[in-house]
Amino acid sequence: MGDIGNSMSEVIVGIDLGTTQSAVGVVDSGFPILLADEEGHSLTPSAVWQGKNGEIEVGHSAVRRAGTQTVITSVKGLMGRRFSELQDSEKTYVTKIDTGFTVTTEGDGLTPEEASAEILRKMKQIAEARLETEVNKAVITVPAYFHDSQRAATKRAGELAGLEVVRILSEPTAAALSYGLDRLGEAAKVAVFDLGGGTFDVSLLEMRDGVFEVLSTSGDTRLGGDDFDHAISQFAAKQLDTDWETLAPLEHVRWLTEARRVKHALSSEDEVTFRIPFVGDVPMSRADFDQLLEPFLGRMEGGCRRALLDADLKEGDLKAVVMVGGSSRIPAVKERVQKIFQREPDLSQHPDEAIARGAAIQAGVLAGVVREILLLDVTPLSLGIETMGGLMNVLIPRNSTIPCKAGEMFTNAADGQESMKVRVLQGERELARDNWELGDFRVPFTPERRGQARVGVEFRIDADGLLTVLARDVATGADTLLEVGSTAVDVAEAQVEKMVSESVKFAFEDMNARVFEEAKLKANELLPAVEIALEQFQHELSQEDLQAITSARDSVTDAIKSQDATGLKNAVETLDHATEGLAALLVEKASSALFSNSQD
Amino acid sequence: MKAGYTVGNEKLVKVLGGASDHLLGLWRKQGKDEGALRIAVVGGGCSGLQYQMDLVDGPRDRDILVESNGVKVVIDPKSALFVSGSELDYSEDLQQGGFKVTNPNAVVTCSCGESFAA
Repeated sequence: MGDIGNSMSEVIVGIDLGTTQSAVGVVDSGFPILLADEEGHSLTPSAVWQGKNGEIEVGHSAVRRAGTQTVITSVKGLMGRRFSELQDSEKTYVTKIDTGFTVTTEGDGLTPEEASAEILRKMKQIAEARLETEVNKAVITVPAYFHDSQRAATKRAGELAGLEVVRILSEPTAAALSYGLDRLGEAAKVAVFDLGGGTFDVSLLEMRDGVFEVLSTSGDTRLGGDDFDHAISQFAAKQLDTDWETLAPLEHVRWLTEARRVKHALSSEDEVTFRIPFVGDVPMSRADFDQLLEPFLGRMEGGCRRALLDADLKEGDLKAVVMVGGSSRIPAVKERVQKIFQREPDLSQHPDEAIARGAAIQAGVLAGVVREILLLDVTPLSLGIETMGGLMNVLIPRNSTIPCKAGEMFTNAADGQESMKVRVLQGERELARDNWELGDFRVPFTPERRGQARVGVEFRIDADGLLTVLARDVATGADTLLEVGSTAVDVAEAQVEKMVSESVKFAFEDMNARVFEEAKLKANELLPAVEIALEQFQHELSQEDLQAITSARDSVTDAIKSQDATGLKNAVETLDHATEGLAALLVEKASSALFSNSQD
Repeated sequence: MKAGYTVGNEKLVKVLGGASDHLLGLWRKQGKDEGALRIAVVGGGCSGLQYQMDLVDGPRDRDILVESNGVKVVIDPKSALFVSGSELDYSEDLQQGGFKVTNPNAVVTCSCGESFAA
């Protein structure tokens, strides 16, 4: 019981558990968004500090302890591996235990899974605080090259953090989702290039049965932005006759921080000065930087070519190339990627947030929270029917979200009329003839006096964009249906633009024509009535009144002849006003037969 | 240097209360002080025309910026032609909940005012 209610409202978050930083996102009101911590950061450093008494700090506060205390970073690469699989450099900060190994901390140490669990717990807390609800389910991303035991370890870390891991998603797939590449359709092949702080991954994906399959993946777990910082620092050290190797650890941090600033600035500027107070300044041009990058770019290129080879693909087979990871911002990296794949790469998504956003989208899909509401199907042009005087009567205005329905009541124009023609129109013009006809049909109804019949017309557009027009004779309840099909919404963009711009261009003339037609309808109602009334009561009117009525009547007829819209509108109003006395007389004489005799 | 954008008014697009509440909530959850909603009109999809929405930082060059109900909306000039006169609302309806667009300005005709439900 209650299963359906729960599953509909259940929140599933998407988590990018990154090597250097992590993020958590969710689909909210259709938008994939990243949730920020209480300080407003949407990216949390993947750093864990454990104190002597087992207390834990994660993220920014853990990072602040680095330098003076032992803080776990980059634990992701250790997940799901055996002690025997570790490299010697990695073994320096781990301790072998029965079930594997723990990473050294200020306290008892944590297994890689436990450390990752602390990061995930932090992400869970951020989400719960922002969403103001409990969060128990998550999609977590892993690198495409993660093997089964590494994926299983990630899943266990999630469980330790109190999260049911509903799916392990590969990072390139997440990136592709955030770029909306799933809309490219079946069999589309794409490349995802991910250059982060410490790792480089390139994956080729193919859409099969609506999901991305990884065709090949390649990369380098020791290539990333950190290497560029080192290269810049060493370049500067050489210029300043300083021996990089003998610098103290704290000096290294200072130089690398400055190098990072220079690196970021060189993405938008041509020359930046590397400056270490009391040591010296080194002017650095983008060309210098590009030269430093060259060996790294070569390794990147090798990885990309290997991925193409492994997938048995040529550059031309790719429908899109997207770039994520902070180092994708470097112009030389982008240029190299463009050269390799012979296609302009897409960098439009935030490079540090794209994977988490993609995880959020996947989570949203699994939670049944559709993202499609961000793409609203709307009626490109107004839909309506022709009414008396050849005018357009809009029922569904343009830009209305589909599905929708709208209805209005119409009546007969003449006595004894047996049917009404419904012309279904599309367009923005005031006169029916300037709009496009989508179809027409006749609605039969019981003959009545003019204005007595009641016919309801309803336009309904379903979720597939199909328009159905229904007309009902209210007296009998009989329905007449017309299936118009998809033409109501399926209009070429150029056609829409033409119609809309013409409606703007002719707005004044069109309005004038409508005013004229509406006034003419009124005049055509009024004039015969006035004639008949005059015939009967002329002698009972004062000379002035008679004069006023006939002159007003004449200006109405003149205005109709001269097609003067404003003149006609005013003349009709004057005539209406002038015949008030006459109307009163009519009421007095109880001549209710007047209108019934008007059009036999 | 600020991008060269122009400022439009609510005649171009109006954000109604429900949509405004949702959008402001979205920025709050992201820890952002400000942001903008980009509305673009794109071709394709099952219908000929679609409104595409995106959360962005602010206007780009040549955009039109409209502030309505506390929400900044940015629209590129080409889309503005199509968007003109639209209202954005949010419906909590379980079946078809989400953002809704209507263009009430398109209706200028008179009618007998009776509603009709089939």
